[in-house]
Amino acid sequence: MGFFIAQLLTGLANAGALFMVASGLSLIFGVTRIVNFAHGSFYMLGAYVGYSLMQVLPGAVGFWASILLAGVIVGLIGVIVEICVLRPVYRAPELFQLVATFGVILVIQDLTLMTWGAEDVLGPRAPGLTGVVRIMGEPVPKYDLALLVITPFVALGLWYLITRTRVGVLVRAATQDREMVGALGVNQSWLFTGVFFLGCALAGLGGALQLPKGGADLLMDFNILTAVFVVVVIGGMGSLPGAYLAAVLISVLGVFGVTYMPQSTLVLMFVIMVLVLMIRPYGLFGRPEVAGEHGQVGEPERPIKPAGLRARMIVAAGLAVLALMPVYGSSFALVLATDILIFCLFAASLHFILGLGGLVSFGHAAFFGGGAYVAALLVTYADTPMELALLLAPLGAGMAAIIIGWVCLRLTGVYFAMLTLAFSQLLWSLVFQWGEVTRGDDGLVNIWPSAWASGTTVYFYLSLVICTGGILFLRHAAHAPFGYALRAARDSARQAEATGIDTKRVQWAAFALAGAMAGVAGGLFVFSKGSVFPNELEIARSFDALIVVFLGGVKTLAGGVVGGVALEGVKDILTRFEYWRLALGVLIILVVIVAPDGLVGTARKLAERWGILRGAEDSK
Amino acid sequence: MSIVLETRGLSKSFGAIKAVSDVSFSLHKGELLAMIGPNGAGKSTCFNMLMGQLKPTAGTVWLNGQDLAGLGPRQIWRMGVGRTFQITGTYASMTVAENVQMALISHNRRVFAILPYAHRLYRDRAMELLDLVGMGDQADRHCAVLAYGDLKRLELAIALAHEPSLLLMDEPTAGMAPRERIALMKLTADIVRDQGVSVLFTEHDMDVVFAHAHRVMVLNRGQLIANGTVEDIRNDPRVQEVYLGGGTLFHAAEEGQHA
Repeated sequence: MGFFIAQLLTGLANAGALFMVASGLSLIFGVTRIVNFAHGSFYMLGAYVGYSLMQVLPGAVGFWASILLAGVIVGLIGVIVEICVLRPVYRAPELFQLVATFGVILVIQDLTLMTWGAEDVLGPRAPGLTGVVRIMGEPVPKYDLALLVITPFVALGLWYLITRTRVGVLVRAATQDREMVGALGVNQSWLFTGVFFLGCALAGLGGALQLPKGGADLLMDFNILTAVFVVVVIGGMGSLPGAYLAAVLISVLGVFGVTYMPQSTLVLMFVIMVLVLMIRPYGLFGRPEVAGEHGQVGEPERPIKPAGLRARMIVAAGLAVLALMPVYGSSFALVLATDILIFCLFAASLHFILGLGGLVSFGHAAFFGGGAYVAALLVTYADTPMELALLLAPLGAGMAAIIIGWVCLRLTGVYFAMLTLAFSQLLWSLVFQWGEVTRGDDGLVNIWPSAWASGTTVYFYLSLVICTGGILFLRHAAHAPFGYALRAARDSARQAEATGIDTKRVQWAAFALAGAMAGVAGGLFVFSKGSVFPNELEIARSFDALIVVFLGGVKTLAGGVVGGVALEGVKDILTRFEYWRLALGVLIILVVIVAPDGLVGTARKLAERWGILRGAEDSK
Repeated sequence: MSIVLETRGLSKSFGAIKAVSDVSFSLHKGELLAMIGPNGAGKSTCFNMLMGQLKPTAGTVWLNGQDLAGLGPRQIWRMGVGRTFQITGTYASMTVAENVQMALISHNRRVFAILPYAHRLYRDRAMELLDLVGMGDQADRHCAVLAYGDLKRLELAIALAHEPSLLLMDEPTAGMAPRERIALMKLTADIVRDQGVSVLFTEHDMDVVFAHAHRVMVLNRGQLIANGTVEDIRNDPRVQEVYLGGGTLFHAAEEGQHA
């Protein structure tokens, strides 16, 4: 019994930081509609800043002052980020801001590394709270008890701010209807900045508060990010009580999971999330998303046409140049080109559902990594030849997409995105923790192509044929009735349904097709590397694809491919430098600000302005 | 004349609120029937039941003699019912012609086709439909740049794509300028006459109703209180009471056009 209670208390104490970060994310999303991927980074900054302050400020007063100050400082950093990075892109297409926040993650990672070094930092003990208290014979750290008391106060304070003050009224009003609040004369940009300050300050506070328990390290940002997403989604986007309850639920389960099911702690979290969302699609306390009646935010996509003769000639010439690469390129260049080709197919498959269908998937890596693991497992356990494995990889990934799509497509918008994220994380945690089969973190190795394809040049040609084939097939599908139906479902689901189009089924089929194509890419990837590790299923891999599609241009057919080439090419050059993340992050942010229509979209607009391309009709 | 649409005792309750109670009417072939009534009278609820978006609490709907019970919007559409919306819903990313082609693709059950080019399918038929509503010269324009009146006409072409026997139009002239309203209703009346389509429409603008409807039904608080010719309705004291508490709305409406 005592052990049980001690565990419960630890769980509740752990919930503190999680709740603060999650409520910050939830607030920011509610008001600005930005899913702030960088929120974990602010949490990490809170921990590091708090640590440095504690070195300077002495004693108990200094300790607590440091925590508060860390919150304020991180909040101010958040304000800087909001003003410099997000303000210029509020008008950009929906979810484009994601890419910007991803750039912020990279920048903060390297700045933290530069400032505090690569070594993990041990958090100082809280003065006066260093020992343990015996509760029914079980030791419970005093600091845990302190956290237990502090968290509800923070929660109550937030609740008071939101429900009882004028600021809170504005925040709630903006959450419901931003335009109306703007029309009533509220200065929106300062409201956004203020909310960003509050959200980031909460994240910083959470980071500083957990210092005595966990210290600070450079992986904190991504580590908490998934848990925070889970909490926000289980609790319901924008709901503070929901965030609190979900944080407690996840933390307590985490503590008990470590004790009773150490092999499945991660899986457990995502299983719970999936279960909650299947019963209550909008989370425990969430309300259905009030989506716009129709289609997309911002300028609507242009009508599409199959490429004309000139464009086809250019593509053919480009492919010829690529095909002659073994003649003039080094073998390193061939390997790089193979990587880029595979990545482009992966990006193009996401672009198919994201660009044409408006289905923002945060978990597309599930199918890339899924295909990779299907192939790798087949080779490892069944000695499957490469040719068969390459066929079965998309089949496996496609099946996964059929199942995952069936569940996820019951929701729309950001809830759909979150659910896809949950499923991909579920797959990742399965692979990561089911060591007997997948060898966990050690990965599956020695998966080489068949003898005939084992040379770099041959494998390059194999990838070239399959990837360009796949990309061209997806492109053709976009011009076929199926692709049109997908766009129709996005533009006006009501009209599509009213003219006999089963929109959910169209989206489901597209989701499965995109999954299968990602599986093709995953299969090719395994044989090109000879190994696969769980990080191919990771959230970061999904983000890579998302960023590529947005950078290239969501509303252009070539967006995925062009973005893929650009990002992978730039990465290859930049990763040779020590602080490449900083450079890449800044570059991404710059592209987002300068070219809000993506590379292709912006290039097209420029070409039209200079008279190279025939312009579209003036928009209303 | 044969009956295209018939309802018997159609009712819908939301909890304790009776949104529509016991509405029975029939619509004949080639008829332009208006359904009017103040806000909250149950017009939209009626429409949504006819189109399969809402399940009636009681009552039946027959389309050309077939019971529509339990059918969803897509099935009802396939049985030959077209619909236009109060707020237009068109595919903003496509051209005008492609909007119509999409409906034709669906009608021919080729939504999942992955080989042909969609913009080449049923192009001729789409052009015919666009010419019918006077949009032929704008066929290749980007739908997102159309004027609102043109969007309404486009939506009409989409609704006519599968040669429906019945057209349901929910406030077809809402949000349009007075001249456009008259033009659109004249167009609709012509189509009714030439194509043999029957139309049921709701409308707030009495000028439009009295100028074009063959017959008018009046709903109030979910009940059908009058059903007859334009002349009957104009002179029905109960209708006048509903609209103006016994006043003389209809004379006022004749005097000035309220855009």
